[in-house]
Amino acid sequence: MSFWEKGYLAVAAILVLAGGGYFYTIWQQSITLESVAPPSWGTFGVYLLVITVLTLSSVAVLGRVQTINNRTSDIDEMINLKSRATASHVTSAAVYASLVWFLFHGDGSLLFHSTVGALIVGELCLCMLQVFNYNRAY
Amino acid sequence: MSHREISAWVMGSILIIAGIYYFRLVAQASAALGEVSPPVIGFVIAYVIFVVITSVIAMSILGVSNHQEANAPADEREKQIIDKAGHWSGYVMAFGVVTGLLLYAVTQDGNRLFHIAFGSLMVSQIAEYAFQIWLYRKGE
Repeated sequence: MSFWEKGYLAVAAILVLAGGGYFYTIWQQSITLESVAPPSWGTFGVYLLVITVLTLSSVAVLGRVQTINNRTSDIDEMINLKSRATASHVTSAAVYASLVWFLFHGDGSLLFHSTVGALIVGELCLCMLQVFNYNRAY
Repeated sequence: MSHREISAWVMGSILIIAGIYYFRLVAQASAALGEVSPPVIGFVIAYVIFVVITSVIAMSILGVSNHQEANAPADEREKQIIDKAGHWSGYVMAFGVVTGLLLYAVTQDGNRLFHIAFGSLMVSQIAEYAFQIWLYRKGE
């Protein structure tokens, strides 16, 4: 397995972990408030911090900096472009779903959280597509 | 001009017209209310119906007028252009959506978040076609 495959799998795991933690916290706050919790800078800041620290740590652990800098082959570029283009469309579809949902419930905080969820799903999809396209040898 | 480039021009134009039409309705409703209006399902449906109907008509006319090219699968260069444009437009959408999220965290106005996110999706789709046209022109 190449550095990039391991890296994307690690980032996917981090996204699931941090995203799960973020939504668990929101869920707990919402139970306490008895309505959907409004976005909190603290929770969101912790979420971003966890992602940043864990991603940097995983890069350091997997650490082959030379490999990272050498990503220039045509096939790598094609895989990267294709995965990012598809992930962008998946993110759009997820954001559209959040917006359609908002038309019915009208809760801004729920729209905020579902849109954050859509962005997380898009990033997760990007990581999985990169791994999939590498293995498929696109 | 290739069939795909003409299609990109046509789709981009349709989306710009539909987007202006939609946001004019939203601006009028907001002006009447004196605040950002809540999203109206009727406006969204009107936007979708307009885009679908005009796209189907325009693509049918283009397909009939250039049957062979319309049915030809994308070659490697075209595939790369489509992927690159799709990738770049993702950044446009993400920028708009994240801006909307940050504004919501400050203003707590869900209607504004809806319109910004919806607008970002429209702009990113238009940007995707614009990037395709630019890449075709650039001879990438």
